[in-house]
Amino acid sequence: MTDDRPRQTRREHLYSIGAGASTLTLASLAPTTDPGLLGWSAPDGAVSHSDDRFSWIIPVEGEDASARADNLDALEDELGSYDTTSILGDRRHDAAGTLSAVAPVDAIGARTRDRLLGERGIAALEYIDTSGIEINRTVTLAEPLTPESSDAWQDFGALESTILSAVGGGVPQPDGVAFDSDMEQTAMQAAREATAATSADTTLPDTSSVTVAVADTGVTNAAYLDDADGNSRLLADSTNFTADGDPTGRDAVADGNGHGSWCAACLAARTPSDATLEGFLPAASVLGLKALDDEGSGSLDNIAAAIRAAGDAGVDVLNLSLGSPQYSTSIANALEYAVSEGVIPVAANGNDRQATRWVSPPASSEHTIAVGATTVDPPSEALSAYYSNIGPHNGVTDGSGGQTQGAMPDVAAPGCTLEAAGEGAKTGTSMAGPVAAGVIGLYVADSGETDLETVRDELQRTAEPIPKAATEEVGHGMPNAANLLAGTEPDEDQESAETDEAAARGGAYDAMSGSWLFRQVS
Amino acid sequence: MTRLSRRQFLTGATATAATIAVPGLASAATPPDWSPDHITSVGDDLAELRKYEPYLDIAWTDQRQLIGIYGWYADSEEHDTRAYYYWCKYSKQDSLSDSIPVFGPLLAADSHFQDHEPALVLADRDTGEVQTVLYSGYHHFAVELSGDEITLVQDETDQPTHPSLEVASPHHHYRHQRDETRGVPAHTISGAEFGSFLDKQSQWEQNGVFKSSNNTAIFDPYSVSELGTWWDKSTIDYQFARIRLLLNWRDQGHDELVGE
Repeated sequence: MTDDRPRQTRREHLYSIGAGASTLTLASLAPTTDPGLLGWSAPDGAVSHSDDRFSWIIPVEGEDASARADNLDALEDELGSYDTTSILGDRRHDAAGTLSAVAPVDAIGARTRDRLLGERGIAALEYIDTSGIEINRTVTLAEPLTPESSDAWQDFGALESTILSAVGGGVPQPDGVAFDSDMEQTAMQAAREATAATSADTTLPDTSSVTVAVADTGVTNAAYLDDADGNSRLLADSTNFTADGDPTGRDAVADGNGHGSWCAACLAARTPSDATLEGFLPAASVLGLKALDDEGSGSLDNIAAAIRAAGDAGVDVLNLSLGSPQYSTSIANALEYAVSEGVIPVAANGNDRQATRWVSPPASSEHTIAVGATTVDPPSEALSAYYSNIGPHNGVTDGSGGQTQGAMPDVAAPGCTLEAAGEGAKTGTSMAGPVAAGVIGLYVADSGETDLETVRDELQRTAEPIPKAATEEVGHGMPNAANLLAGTEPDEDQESAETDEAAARGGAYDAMSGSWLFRQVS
Repeated sequence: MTRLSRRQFLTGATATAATIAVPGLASAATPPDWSPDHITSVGDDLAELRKYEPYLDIAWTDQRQLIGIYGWYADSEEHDTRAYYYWCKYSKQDSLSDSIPVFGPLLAADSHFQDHEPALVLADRDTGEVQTVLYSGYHHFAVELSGDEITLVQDETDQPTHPSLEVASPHHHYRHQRDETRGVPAHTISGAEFGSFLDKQSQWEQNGVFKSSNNTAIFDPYSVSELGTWWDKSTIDYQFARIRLLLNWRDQGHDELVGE
């Protein structure tokens, strides 16, 4: 996610709404509480246990891992003081400074009255990162889109249209956006060609030094993940976070859904018998992190654990083709940790432009590279997909308390009816994400660079503009491996290359995001 | 005051290795920075702690709430006794008053010391004989009994060393249990940990266990007799506790308290 505009810090936001630094923020609790002096109810999807207890993800402060470990010790002692709490041992992470526990809400101190009275529950303890406390929730991955699914374009009411006309250039027009009829099933090679990631475009580096992680519904240990000697490149440390005890092993992360395996195939399939299905990094190692079940659902706790595991494993690129309309402090914290360990997280923008609209968490985090979807065409011809979420985020509707305000796509990549080895054709930003991650993996293989901001800057600087799309839809354009590896900047950047039609659409999105009045009626 | 964590303390203690060995007693480590200057050594050897652990007459309902007994011992250049200092930690209970709208949480907000109950034994360093026993006799006001007054049980050594105490329900302070057959060694209580206060000190401090306490009473076992209470008398919690003293009929009385 990138955002060049001034943005409030969390502290600034808190003060702007009249809350002090010691209170729980909207960021953590807007999705978890009902307002009101006395009442409290858990949010939809909250992971509950017996006796009205819920699981909570609790971060601690601390300058270094040792200090955080000491604080986690203290937190465990405090939680152990209640006869209704239990600590989830496999979710304690000293370096990241977090643990998870099952507890009633009063032990946490998350009710409004707890905050008003002060010094109640563990939220009142000084060493707790109070603003980061989060109730664990189950989120569901949006099904990959198919040509049979909706390709509707949102109609705007008279009031909304009037407001958009007053504050911007009118409502967004669908002309120039890709709908189902614009999408043809295409093999992976077309996506590699569109991103100049073939041997015809550039000298491709040896990718055997690269490790990519896929946090998803799992990764099946398929033949296309074997190396030239027939040995699996799916790492034995692959972990299933959805099962008790977090079992590891290639079999432990078998994918009963296909979504995660598709991403792995896009990234790393080696298909000597059919070059059209070869992935971007055919010699890379793959770490499977099963954070979602076979139905595509997963808890914040498990997803955050998978992200931290990528950091612990020294992964270079982490693919996150998952998301939720609601902001999660736990996932944001896990991403921050992974990035500090040299991981480059790449996240899908989301497939809900017609409803929740804005770049969805975790793509909206500053600790990811956010990827939108286009048709599988060269940048000069590509269209932004009608489902692909856009920027700039208003920072309000995801409950982030301003954390995501201004979040934009970084780039956009082919993601419509794209076929990967062994996994068929799928559509969505979930598919565009690993295409971009594949290009980034080539850059890592070539340069050894794993600093997120350095990679982001280079990715953006060398991306090819997509003239028929707006910056708000595709960020800086389409990743281009040849440019990226050579350090070549295109002649024209995305904003100056936009057609008038695309620019008008982008202007409407800007107005929708930035207009307080529009947010009240929409 | 900045205090060392247990981890830092152990690291520092290992580095300095300037322990003071007491003849006939378990060795002890250089005192942590939170202890007063006259304390020359501290220790948490569990075998040593067992020598003076209280025998507790504790009801089943209270036993279920007992999380652990955490001790330490200290030697002082100003005293001829070694101090054995024990804290019983009980789980927090859901408060009935908490369910009362608006005022309930206020009524429940008197969870002073988060239900940690102290008892300490001062034993002659040369003979091992118990000189004095002090314990929380009612809401962290102290009861002081001499070795001759308190009922002592003989078990771990060749002389009686274990004060016989009854745990009062529901507040978990102690009463002198004159029937020495009623109690059990603290370390044998099922489901309760027998551990080191030195391990827990920084955690409890971080968790606000001592936020209403007089730190001198917490960190200087030789001061309790003079102070007569573990309370910081400037706190509202202390005033609440004094009110509770006036209402002690509800708890069926208590032993004679120091200075009240």
